[in-house]
Amino acid sequence: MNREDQEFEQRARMALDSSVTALDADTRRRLAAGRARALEQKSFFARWMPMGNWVPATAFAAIAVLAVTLFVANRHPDAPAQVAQSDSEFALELLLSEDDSTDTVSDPDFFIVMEAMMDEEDKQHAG
Amino acid sequence: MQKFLAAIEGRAFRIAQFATHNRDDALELVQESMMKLVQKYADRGADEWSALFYSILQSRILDWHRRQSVRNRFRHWFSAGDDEDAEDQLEQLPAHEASDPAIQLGNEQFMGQLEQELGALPLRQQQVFLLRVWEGLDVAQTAAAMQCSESAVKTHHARALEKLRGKLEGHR
Repeated sequence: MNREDQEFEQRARMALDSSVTALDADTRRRLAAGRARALEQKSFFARWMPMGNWVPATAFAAIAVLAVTLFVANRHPDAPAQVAQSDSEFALELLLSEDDSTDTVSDPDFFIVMEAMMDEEDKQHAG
Repeated sequence: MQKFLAAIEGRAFRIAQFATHNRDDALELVQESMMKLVQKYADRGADEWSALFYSILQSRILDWHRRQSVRNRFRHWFSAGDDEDAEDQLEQLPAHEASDPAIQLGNEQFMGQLEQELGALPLRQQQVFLLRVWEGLDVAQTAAAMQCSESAVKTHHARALEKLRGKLEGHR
């Protein structure tokens, strides 16, 4: 860039600066209002948005959730064992149930099968 | 941030006004850019604000031009070439607001023609000239703001300077 270019740019810069100085009052007022609005928004975001403000709150919430979960779990510590126990009790009841044995004894086929099995055993002993 | 915005808003408004030829739109673009800068980049270093602000403003100006070109296309289809558009555009040319007598005496004529010739430049040449010469952004910052290469910035700057000097030769 030669010296004439630099002088031209200098003059253009001065003229442009003058055009800003000469801005009318209404334009200046509206620019200032826009700036104020932008900065208001900054203070709003500064109050609510930075992560620094949310970290302690998030940590507190996480600890509270964990504490509640542990408390609820410890309140009935043997709940699953009880379920298992009740299952086994039910199975035992079925096995020892009198109804089943009555049915078996009153079934005529039971005696036929038993008699056949005893005959078989006698033959094997005799042999 | 307050000081930065106060220092930059007048020039930013004029840059937007050169690009849009519309005072209200220019004010709106500057305000949007200020809001975006504060919202997104307030925590950055103060030395970065200028380049970031002009990057946002340039993006807004480009969006504005895209919207305008779509609008003008529709207007052209429906109005079948009325002369009203030309009159509207003349009305929207920035008013010459020099109210200080000293400024009027010193630079009014030069500024009047500079304004006219800047307005007549292609948008990118105009904006590169304003960012480089008036805002003092370096080539790399201007390229970042305009989202183009550094060589394109140099080319736009050289062409703008050549055209403006050619047109304003009589004001030496």
